[in-house]
This record gives sequence, structure tokens and C-alpha cells, in this order.
Amino acid sequence: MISQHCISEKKLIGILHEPAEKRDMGVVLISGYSLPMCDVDYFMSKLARYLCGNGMFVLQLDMRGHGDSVGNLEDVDENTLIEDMEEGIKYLSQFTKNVFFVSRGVCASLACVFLEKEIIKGLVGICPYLLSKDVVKQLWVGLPDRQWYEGKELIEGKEYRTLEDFDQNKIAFFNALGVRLRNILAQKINGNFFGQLQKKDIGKQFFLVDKKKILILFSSPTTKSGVETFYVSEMHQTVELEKYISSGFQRNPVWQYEVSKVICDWLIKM
Amino acid sequence: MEIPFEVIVDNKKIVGIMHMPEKLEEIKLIMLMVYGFNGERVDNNRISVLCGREAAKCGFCFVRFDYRGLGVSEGEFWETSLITKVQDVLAVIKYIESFLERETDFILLGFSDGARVVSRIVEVSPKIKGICLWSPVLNPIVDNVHGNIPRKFFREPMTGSLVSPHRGLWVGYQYMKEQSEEDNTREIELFQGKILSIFGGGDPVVKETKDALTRISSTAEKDIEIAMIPEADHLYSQYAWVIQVISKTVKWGLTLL
Repeated sequence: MISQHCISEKKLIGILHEPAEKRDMGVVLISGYSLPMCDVDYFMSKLARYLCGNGMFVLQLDMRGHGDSVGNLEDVDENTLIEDMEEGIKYLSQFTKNVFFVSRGVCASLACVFLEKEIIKGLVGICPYLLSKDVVKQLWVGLPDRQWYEGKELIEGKEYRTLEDFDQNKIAFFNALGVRLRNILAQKINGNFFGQLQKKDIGKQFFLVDKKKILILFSSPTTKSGVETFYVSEMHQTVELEKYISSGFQRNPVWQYEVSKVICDWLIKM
Repeated sequence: MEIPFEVIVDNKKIVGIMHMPEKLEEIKLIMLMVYGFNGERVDNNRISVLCGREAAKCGFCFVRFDYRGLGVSEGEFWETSLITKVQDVLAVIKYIESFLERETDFILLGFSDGARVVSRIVEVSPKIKGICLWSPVLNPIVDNVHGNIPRKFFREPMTGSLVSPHRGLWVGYQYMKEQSEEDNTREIELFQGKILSIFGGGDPVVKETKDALTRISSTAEKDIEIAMIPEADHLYSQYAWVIQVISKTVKWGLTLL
């Protein structure tokens, strides 16, 4: 059964899934950047039910500026994302001392900092942000520094349903963040956060922590399930933009189901 | 203030948020968000959240929730249909009245395919004083299966239910049938209350519905206002369009107080 909560003094809204038959483990689910906690195609809600059905406590959480929580996206930067994800961990720690983290895009990469904590037993990154700062800087050459940028200023087009006249490299960039493009065009992205993506290789965090605690997933047309799993030692520290077009998050219910199975099996083995 | 709430419908929990002005006893009217096919209670670019916050500032109550099978509510998308969505809306209306401890009038805000749900509600509920429609779709839609998925029907892996893929979702047979066969314009035409319908000038999806509602507004003695947001797409994917939609909606809503 689910229950809705206002967690922390920051008034973040979350949904707790409490299992009928309980394992001593819990999972914090964080959606792609700018998206509500259900995520695109309700992926995180579906994943939550799958994991809860396998005995895990699950918390879906809206960070500040996302979904139902307070604030606006233009006030969200790296620090607020990390602070709010940590609130989710604190909340779930009431139920279990074995907490796992699952996220997509840039939030998955930022969540690496939590692996230092005793309570965090593992992290799953679904198409996590692994772009090089130099590639990102190149995409936005000439863009002046500002307090915030409206989504439509960063990427333009008129075919809103198919996105076929939008710049493919910029679509890849937003995919890497975990964004659903149509959901960002009318929102404002924090200028400081945007600038940090051009100054730091955020994805390098994966290579500085305990590799045994990390699972990275992308999509692949060559595997039977469509899901390609990576272990950090096999990967380069950055990936190309094109990977987030050819191997990114798939809006396909079969793929999303296969990903849920892979994640659940890995969490249980941990 | 924003108050989370939960309602049980057919053993499944649906969850929502009520945006309330400070003085509950002064609430005269409630606007209830009835979003479309595969939306959720926050919706594209948080338009529902922004509308709720603006409405509460202007003194009326705005309620948004996730239907069973959508967003963060319980249930699976392939179990959803227009029938279940109508049941959910009626359950939320009943809950709100019990929360306020009195009967009250409602405005339904139908977004896209949500206009179909609205059309069915106004047929059965006398509590609806007005209808606001954003990018309404009331005509049959015959092909809602995404082109690049080769098979039309699958067995959903966990339950074996017959479903069809739409983006990352499994759509149930009942909902596909309802969408492809029903024209819900007549129910809107018969509604006796005030209507505001907002369309995007760059939205090809709503052409049939726009033509139908324009015809109704010009031929009958009905209180229908048709508003256009030039160049806007179906989901109002620019900040200026979001602000215009919300502003028109709230201003119109205040005229019903």
C-alpha cells in the first residue's frame, strides 16, 4: 500500500511503498531532472511497485522545484539536488539500515556522493550523466552567463510532438540529464547549475567510489532483453552524446519492464 | 496552503493535492483538474501545479490528483479506461465535500483527452457549475499506437492482459475502444453552465473539436467562450503560453464565484 507524505522541513512530497512481506532493504527512487516523481511513462511508479512486490520499502520523492514539492526549477542547483536526495535517504532510514538509490540522468551521477555513507549499500544509474564538460561547453558556445535560461532558449524547434526539427546533439544532452524534452521547454534552468555542467565532469564521480556498489544501465539493440549493463571498470569516464540517442532511456514498455527486472535482481543479490 | 489527500476507489489508493486559500470556510467553488490520456497530476512543465498555486492566491480551491493507473496512484495503466477515470473523479468530488463538510459547486478543468472525462461527468453530476477545457479532444482518435513499435498487441508480462503499447505504456483494450469510437461533443453541447475552451493556434490535434465548439458557440444561446493562444502547441510547451493559459483560466474562474 502506498502513502503520501510531506517529508522534512523542506516540505518535499514523497510516496512511500510499504511491502506486505518485508525484506530489510529500502530503495530511494529519483526521477530524471525536472520530472515529477512518477517519471516519464510513470517508469519510477512502475519500478516502485515491482520492487515493493519483491519485499522492498520504496520511496519516490519530488525534490525542490520538481513535481509537487516547493520551489521552482530555476532555484535548483547541484547543492539543492544533493540535499534533497539526502532527505529521502534520511526518511527511508527509519524503516531499514540497508538503503539503495536508483535514479536516471544527472541525479544518478550526483548521487555517487552518498556511497560514502554506511547506510547506502548500492546505486543504480539508468543512463546516468557521463558527458564530458568540454563536449557540453562546445554545445553552448556563445551563450551568455545568466541567472536562469528558459528551456526554449536553449533548444529550438516547432515540431513539438516529433522533435524532428530540434538539434539532435542538444536532444542528446537533455537525454543525458534525464529530461523529457517537452517537459523542460517551458521551465527555467538554473544558470549556476547549467554552468557547472560545462566546468565539471560530473560523471567522474562514479570512478572515485566503491565500484562493487554500482550498477549502470543503458539500452542496447544487440542484447536479447534490450538492456546493457555496465560495470564501472569496463567503462570510459565519459561517453559520447550519440550514446544518449542510440542507447538512452527507451519509451518502450517492454524495455522498461526488462530494466525493472535487472534492477530488482541486482538489488536482491547485493 | 497545499494539502495532500488520499481516496480509496475499488481497493486502490488514489492520491492528490488540494491547493487551498487560507480560509476554508470562504471557499465557494472548487476547480478540479481532469487531465488527459497519459498525463499526471503535475503535468507538462508543471502547468497544473502553477495553476493550482495561482488559483489559491486568487481565493479559490484547486484540486489535482492522479487517476488509478496513472502518475503515483495505485493501479496499472492498462486497467484504466474512461469509465475508471469517471469513477475516480466522482470519488474525489465526494471526498472533497466530506472534507469541507458541505456540498459545493465545482468547475471541471479538462485537459486534452480529459475533456472526454468531463463530458461524461457533466451528464451525471448536477454539481458542475462550469467547464474549462484546455486543448480539448472530443472526437474519436483511431490510431493511438506509436508508429515505431512493430506489433499492435502484446500480452502484458505479469498478468497476461491484452494490451497495446503507447510510448512506454501498455494501453488496455477498453480504453483504446473508447478513444477510437466515442464522440463526446454532444454532452458538452447539452451542458447548461458556463464554458471556457482554450486552444493553441499551432495545435493540429484539436482541429475537429475546435470547429465543433466554435459552431456550437455561434449557433446556440450558450455561454461558451473560445480563447486562442497564438502558435501554442497541444501541451503549451513555452513559458509564455503556460502563463497565458493559467491567467485566462483563473480570471474566468473568478467570474463564477
